Amino acid sequence: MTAANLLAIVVTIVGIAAALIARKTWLLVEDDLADSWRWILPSVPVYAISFAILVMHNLLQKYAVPQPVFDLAFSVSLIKKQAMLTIKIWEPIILVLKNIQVLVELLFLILVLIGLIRQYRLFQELYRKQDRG
Amino acid sequence: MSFVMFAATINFFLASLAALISFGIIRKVTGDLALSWRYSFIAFQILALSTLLTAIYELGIRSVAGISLQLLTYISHFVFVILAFFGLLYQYRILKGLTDRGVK
Repeated sequence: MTAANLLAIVVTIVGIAAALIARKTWLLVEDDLADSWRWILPSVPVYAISFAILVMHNLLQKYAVPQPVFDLAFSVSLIKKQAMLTIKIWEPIILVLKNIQVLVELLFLILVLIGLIRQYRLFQELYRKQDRG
Repeated sequence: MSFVMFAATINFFLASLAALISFGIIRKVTGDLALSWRYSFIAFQILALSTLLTAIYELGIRSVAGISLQLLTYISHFVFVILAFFGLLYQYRILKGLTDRGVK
């Protein structure tokens, strides 16, 4: 296992621990602040999942079989004027996993942004009230 | 442009936006709460850097100054998650202190 893979595993574990703290914070707060935390709360495990997918992707890439998963060949020979069709699919799961990982990361960022915007509005409102008072 | 590169580029802009919003929150709050948001401000900047590194990796560049780009990406993700973890922990302690004071 390479240093990069080890780091990815550590990131996943710390991400899960951070998710537990986010849940505890969400349980502490109420009203508008709880609403904003409701968006941030699922984002942390989503990030951990994204990294778990990356770990899986790296491991599959390392231990993948060096042969195509799907192999289709079609050949027509009309007195040597050949027509040939070959389709080879190499580890489609690995390619899809990488795409899923970036999409999950995108979902994480969208959730975080919604939570952050809500918190920003809340703090802005508090700031205005304090300024007036 | 590959799909991964496209998504990583969008992620870079979103992470930068998250860092900007965190900066906006820092300006609205004071004391310990501002310090806890400073963690998230730096964390999102580092996340933006790691998404940028992912996009560069997808361009076909495999190393920078002899260091594997994949390793650099993971290190930046690691720094991000550590900062996010301590930022969340710090904010949890502040809120717990406030609610404890409210109970008393």
